[in-house]
Amino acid sequence: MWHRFVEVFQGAPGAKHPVSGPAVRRGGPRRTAGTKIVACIALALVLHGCGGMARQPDGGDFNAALSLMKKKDYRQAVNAFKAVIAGNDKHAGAYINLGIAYTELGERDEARQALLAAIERNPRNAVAYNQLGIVYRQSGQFKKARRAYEKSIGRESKYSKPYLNLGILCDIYLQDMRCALANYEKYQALTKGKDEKVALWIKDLKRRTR
Amino acid sequence: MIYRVLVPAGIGLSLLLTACASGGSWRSSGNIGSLKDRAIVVEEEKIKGGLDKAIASYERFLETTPETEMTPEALRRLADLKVESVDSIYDQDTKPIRDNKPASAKLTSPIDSKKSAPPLRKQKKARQETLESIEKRSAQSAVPEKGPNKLTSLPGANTMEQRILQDDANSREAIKIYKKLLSKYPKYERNDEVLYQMARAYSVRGEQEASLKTLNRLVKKYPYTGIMDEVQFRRAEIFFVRGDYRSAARAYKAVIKVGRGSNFYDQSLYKHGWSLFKQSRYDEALKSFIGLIDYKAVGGRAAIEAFDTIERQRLDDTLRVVSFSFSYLGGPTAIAEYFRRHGKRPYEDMIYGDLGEHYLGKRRYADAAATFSKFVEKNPLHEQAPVFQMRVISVYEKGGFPKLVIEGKEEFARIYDLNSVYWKSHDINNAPQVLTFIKQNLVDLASHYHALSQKNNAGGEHKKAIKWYRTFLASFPDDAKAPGLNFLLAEILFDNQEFAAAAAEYEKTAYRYPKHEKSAEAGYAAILAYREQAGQAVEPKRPDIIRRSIASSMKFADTFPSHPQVTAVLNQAAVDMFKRGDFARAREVAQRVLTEHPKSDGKIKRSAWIIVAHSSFDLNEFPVAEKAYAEAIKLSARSAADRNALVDRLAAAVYKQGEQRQKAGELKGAVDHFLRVGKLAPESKIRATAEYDAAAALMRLKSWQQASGVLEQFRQRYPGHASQADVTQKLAVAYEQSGEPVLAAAEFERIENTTSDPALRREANIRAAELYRKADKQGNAIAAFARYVKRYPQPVGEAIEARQHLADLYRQAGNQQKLHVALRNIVKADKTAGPARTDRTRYLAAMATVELSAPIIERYRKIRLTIPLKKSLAKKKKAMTKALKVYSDMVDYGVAEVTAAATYYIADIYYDFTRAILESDRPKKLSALELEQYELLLEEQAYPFEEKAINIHKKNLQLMEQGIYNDWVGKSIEQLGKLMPARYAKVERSEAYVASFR
Repeated sequence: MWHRFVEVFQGAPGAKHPVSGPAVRRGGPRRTAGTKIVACIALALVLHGCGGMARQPDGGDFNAALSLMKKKDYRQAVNAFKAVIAGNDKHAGAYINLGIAYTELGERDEARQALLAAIERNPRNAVAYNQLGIVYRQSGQFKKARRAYEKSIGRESKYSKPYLNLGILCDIYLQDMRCALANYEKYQALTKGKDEKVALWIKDLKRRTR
Repeated sequence: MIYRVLVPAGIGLSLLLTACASGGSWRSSGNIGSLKDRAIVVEEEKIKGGLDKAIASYERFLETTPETEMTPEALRRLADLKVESVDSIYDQDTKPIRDNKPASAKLTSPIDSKKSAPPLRKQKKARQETLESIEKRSAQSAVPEKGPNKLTSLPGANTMEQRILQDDANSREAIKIYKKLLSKYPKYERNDEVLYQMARAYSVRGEQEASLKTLNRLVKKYPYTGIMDEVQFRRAEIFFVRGDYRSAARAYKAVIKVGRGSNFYDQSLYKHGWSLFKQSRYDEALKSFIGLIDYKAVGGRAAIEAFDTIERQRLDDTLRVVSFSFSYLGGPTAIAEYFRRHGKRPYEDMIYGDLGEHYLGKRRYADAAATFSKFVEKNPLHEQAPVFQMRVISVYEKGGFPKLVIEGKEEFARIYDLNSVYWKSHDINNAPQVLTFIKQNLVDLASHYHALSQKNNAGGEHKKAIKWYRTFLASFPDDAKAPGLNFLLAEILFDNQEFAAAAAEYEKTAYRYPKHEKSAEAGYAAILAYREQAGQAVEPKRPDIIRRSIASSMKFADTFPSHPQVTAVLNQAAVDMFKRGDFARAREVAQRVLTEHPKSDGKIKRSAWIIVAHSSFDLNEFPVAEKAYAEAIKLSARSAADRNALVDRLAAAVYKQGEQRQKAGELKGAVDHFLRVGKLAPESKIRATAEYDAAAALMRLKSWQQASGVLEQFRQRYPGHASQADVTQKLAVAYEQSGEPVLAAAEFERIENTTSDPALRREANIRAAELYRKADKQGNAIAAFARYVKRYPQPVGEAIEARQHLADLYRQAGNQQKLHVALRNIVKADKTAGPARTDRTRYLAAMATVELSAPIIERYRKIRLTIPLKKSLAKKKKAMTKALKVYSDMVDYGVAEVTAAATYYIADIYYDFTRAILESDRPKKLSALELEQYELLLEEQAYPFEEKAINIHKKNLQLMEQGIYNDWVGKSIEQLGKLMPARYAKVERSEAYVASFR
């Protein structure tokens, strides 16, 4: 009288579960292809700087890089220090040398980034601040340059170069004779008056300020 | 045989007392009363052949004793004993003699004792009796058949012949003695008894006429005799036998008149009725018969119930003749009319019943049914009314009237429903027979209509069957038959597609009663009924039915765990739960199938796994779903229609795990899952999406190389995929980020060539150009930028930037011609930009102008002051003027950097003039002194230009006071360093390198 039933569940039941699989959503509302590519690129840039960094071979020898610096082969030195950094990102010295090399190559943006990275890794490094001051000065960012020199002095009060550099900044670029004179004199004091040029500059300044 | 012998004192005569009374219908005259005045010694002793000895004793007494006042008494006793001896021979061993009541009063044929009205079937046998047989029985009672021809055995006689001769002699002698007594002692006080005994002796001898005459003589001579009732009764009997019913009736009437005190009263009533009946005076006869019943049943029904066999037989015989009477008078209507006229009787049911049976015996079914019905009609609340209604049905059954049977049964069921008026005044527990019938009647009705409905349900027979099943179950829910009938009710409901009701009844059958034969089957059928109901239901009602079906299924599984269909039921419940969206329960039940019934059918297991999988999926428990899908696929045939769908779902479950990880920010895990899709389900539809998402996640992880690998495979594997454009874009970014700018640029060019979106195409174009530029692919970069500036002159800003890049590239390539074209285009574009002109365009245009000016200043520089000085000086001055104008115009751009550049160049023009003067050709013919003076003159001429150059450079330095510093200012400082080294040749000092790690 009655049939036996075995309604076996066959695959996906009903419209609720289309056999084509779940409604997989990708992203939010669909953007135009144009904005999407811009977004992708923008993201990539934010994450990875301006994309200028080429992929580096692994590892790197700090001393080998230094020898390139000594030979003033700054382009190669840049690559070498990048390799060092790729092996050890904490290496503040490598970043400073990278900054110096970039400065020499006239690539001021890269130089600034390298030096800021160095300072980030070792905020007590007076050399990095001094070099950063130079880079800022070359970029026309005189206030930042002054602060950098002052920080260099603050880190290492007996380090003479930032005094001289601050003097030049005040002298030529900031037209602050008093500042220039004071720093030249400090430089002279630290270098025990050995620099004759600087002695002349002091004399000239004193004459002009009289 | 035991005889009580009373021996008179002094004579040693043993007198036989009641025990030796005649076994015939006639009374014995010898009794205790008759000897009450005697001083007697009563002894009890066993006497063998006591009667003969007694006769011999009396004879001896009469012979030896002189005549005294005792003589008539002795004579009478002697005669009585002789009569007695004749009677006793016939009665010996056939009938016990207990008292001296007239045997005629008990003269009925022995019939089995029946205390209550015999049931129909038993009565049937009784009904086979004819009126004649009853009449014969009544006639037998009137005439003692004790003739010699009835002799069966003669114990104590030598031969039969001798004994007959002896009897004949005894009776003749007795009559002789009685006659002698009557004539010799006419005043003898017991002559009425003597006459009676003499009539008896005649009767014993078969001389009925003489006997009647003797009795007539007695009536006449002793009208006040104490045995008048008996005498009249004997007379009536003789008349009756003779067929003189009129005389018989009169004689019986005389007995009746004596009243109820007479021992012959009831017998006479009976025979009086018969006497009238024989005269066809039925109505009068009925009065006697009914009177007899009234008399016998004076104690009511209970008295009738207490009748012994003989009384019962008499009653039955009476009823029978009553039935005949009523039958002749018109049947049941006559009964009704009779009792209407003569008053109701408590035993009317017997009358109706007997008449009904009477008709039935004659196969007069309609009359029988009418009779039983009449009783019910007249006595609806009579205790026996249901029984009569039952009898009506029985009659129809016997008569073969199936339609009437059913109508009767329906009528019965209706009238004697447990809620009917009838049962308000009767306790059904006191009517077990009716109760049984009511139950069976309902079963019969239900079965009848059930069977009919299966043959042809045109008349809605099933509804009737349902009604009777329901009536039974409502009335007798705890009856042993209830579960089986409940099951049948459910079946018929199911067969007639009343699935809701069927389901309810199946459930009741399965679960309401203690477990029975059909419990499990009903439980299973209930689920089937729900499913059928659900199949027919309109949508808004379906869910509730399914809910019930599920509940029923679970109950079934819990109650009958070993039923062969339990896994199918559980599986179906799980399917239903799933369809209802109750995923957690669906999964639980499906898992129950798998764990509790691991050996169940493969199809069921597969289905269960699918439920577990789908439910887990919907519960977002994707790892469980994945495992379950894998199990389901394992159990699927290669050719299974849904195999691919399952594979797709498996893939989706894996994909979803990736999605979950992604949402949790675990991109690496997400990628693993996304890529697992392709390995587990290479043909799944979602694989493309999964791999696309894997690539996207890899990009977010900055795993550019891996991302580009996945994207490349995607491109290859799904050439027509809608996301190909996105893939190209992603690939471009991935290549770019993984340090493959050339590959990235190629991707952008691919976008440029394939997209229909103009904005995207433009964007891709510029990206490709920039990437080629960065990768130092000058040729590709130039081509890309050139394409760009040609295609997209608007927006101006971007176009000018592109032109600037183009110019830069040409500059790098040393293609001065194209460089200048590019620079001029920049200037032109800026000039014509109108409102789209920006500081940037102005800047670039200005810078282009600066660059374009280089040949002018170069040409100016190349003009040497030669002899003739005037001419060359004029030429130089002209070039100077032109150059100065170009740079002065540049200042109009209002671009600080360009102003600084122009200032620098103007200063440089003046400085160059100083140099040109100082390096001018000297007149050849000058003496050394003249030459010295000439040079002094030259210096004087040159000095103002140098001063001017210095001042103009210093002006450039003043820009710094406005916060402007650029390369041109720097260059001016540099120049000043040369012109005023003590003041301006000041260079910062830094370290050449640092050797420290820190």
